[in-house]
Amino acid sequence: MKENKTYKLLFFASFLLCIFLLNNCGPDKREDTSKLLKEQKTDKDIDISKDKVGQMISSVPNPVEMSSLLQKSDIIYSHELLNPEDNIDNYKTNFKKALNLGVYGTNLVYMNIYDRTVGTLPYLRNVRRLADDLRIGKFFDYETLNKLSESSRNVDSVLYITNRGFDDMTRYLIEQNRSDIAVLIAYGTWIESLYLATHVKTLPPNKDLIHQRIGEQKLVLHNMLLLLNNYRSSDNEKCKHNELFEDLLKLKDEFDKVSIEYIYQDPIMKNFKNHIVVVDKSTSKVNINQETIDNIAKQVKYIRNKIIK
Amino acid sequence: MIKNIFFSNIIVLASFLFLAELKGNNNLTDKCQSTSHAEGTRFIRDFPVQHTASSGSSPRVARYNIILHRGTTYRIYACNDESKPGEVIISLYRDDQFIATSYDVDSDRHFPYIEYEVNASGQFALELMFKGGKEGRAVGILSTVE
Repeated sequence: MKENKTYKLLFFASFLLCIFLLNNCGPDKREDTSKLLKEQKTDKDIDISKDKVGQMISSVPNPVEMSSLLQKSDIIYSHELLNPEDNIDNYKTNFKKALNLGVYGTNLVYMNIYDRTVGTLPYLRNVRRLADDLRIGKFFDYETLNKLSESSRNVDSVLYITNRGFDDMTRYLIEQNRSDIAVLIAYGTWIESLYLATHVKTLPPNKDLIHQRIGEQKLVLHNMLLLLNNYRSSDNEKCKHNELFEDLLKLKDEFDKVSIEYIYQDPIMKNFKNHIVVVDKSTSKVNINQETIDNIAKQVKYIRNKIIK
Repeated sequence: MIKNIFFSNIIVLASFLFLAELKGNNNLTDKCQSTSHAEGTRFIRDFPVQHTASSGSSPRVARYNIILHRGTTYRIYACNDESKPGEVIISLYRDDQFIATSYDVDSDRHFPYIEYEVNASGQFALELMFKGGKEGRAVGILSTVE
């Protein structure tokens, strides 16, 4: 009787599996389900909860913010800083693929913000390829982005679809107990944003603004270390996380020379018919000198070159 | 063997349910982005939330950490799934210190969005909950005013 019930349940689950595969896997996106399932980890492998990882990963800045700041500060576009598109063939492991998905995603955003939409196709392809390899390609709307890339008038739509795609990938990975991959994507994204900020040519008066923003990354570094710490292990594959962690510790040595002064005051709130405006009366000031900027730039370049090689 | 197939199917079923939920969330985000709240802004991140009705006195809260930067004006808005009874309330905190909320208790009024001119960079938290702990589904959106 019990066995009969189990078979009925199995039949039902198999039926749902078939529906799922028919609905979601086109001929070019067929996934090896058994391989996919092998990648699932048990909850025992994860020390902090999914909710906590989701909470913390949302504090890793979106590349749009840094690239927008660079563009608004009249910083010249530097294509030579991007990860060369041909490097993709070097990325054979999921570890490398995840990191460089973050890197290429950031490059894509950077190009779009600077209205280089028409030239983004190779980077779009790379993002799709890496996302497909990591079995999260279904969250990246390549077809729409490809169409939108034909005109630079669609920048905001492109950024919206790109950002949402990356957010969906992250949520899915966390839900599937693959948050180590989600953290690697966030790591690649953040390091690439920081690399661009520390290596573009800045001139006064905007130089100070960019330096302030670089100094503020001290806050992100703290969260990134907490996230990575969760995946440190003596296990061989996870050892690579250890290396990233150690690299960040060296970066932390430089960021420790940055101080952020705060003066807190209550905000002023104004109620309007349809919205509330909050004016921040607190102030913050980042103390960072040129030598520290140069040392941060050097360490970021070292980490970034290891990621993209 | 049977046990393995069973658990494999359960995982695939969970993925299927997650994808269905994600599709619903994306529709809600798309809808929210097409409202007037999004005009003149650049999308940064969305924060979907779905809660069943809370049985206790304190409603469930979804919390997300964010870093906001000095010299930037952010707009925070939310859209509800109208097929559910819950109305979302978004609150913003800086290091656990309350900054603003989209719901005014005294007037029982929901404000469609909060605009925040940041003058001190730092770590903030966005909290999303449903008024009265009702069942609800919503999405909160963080964007910059351009």
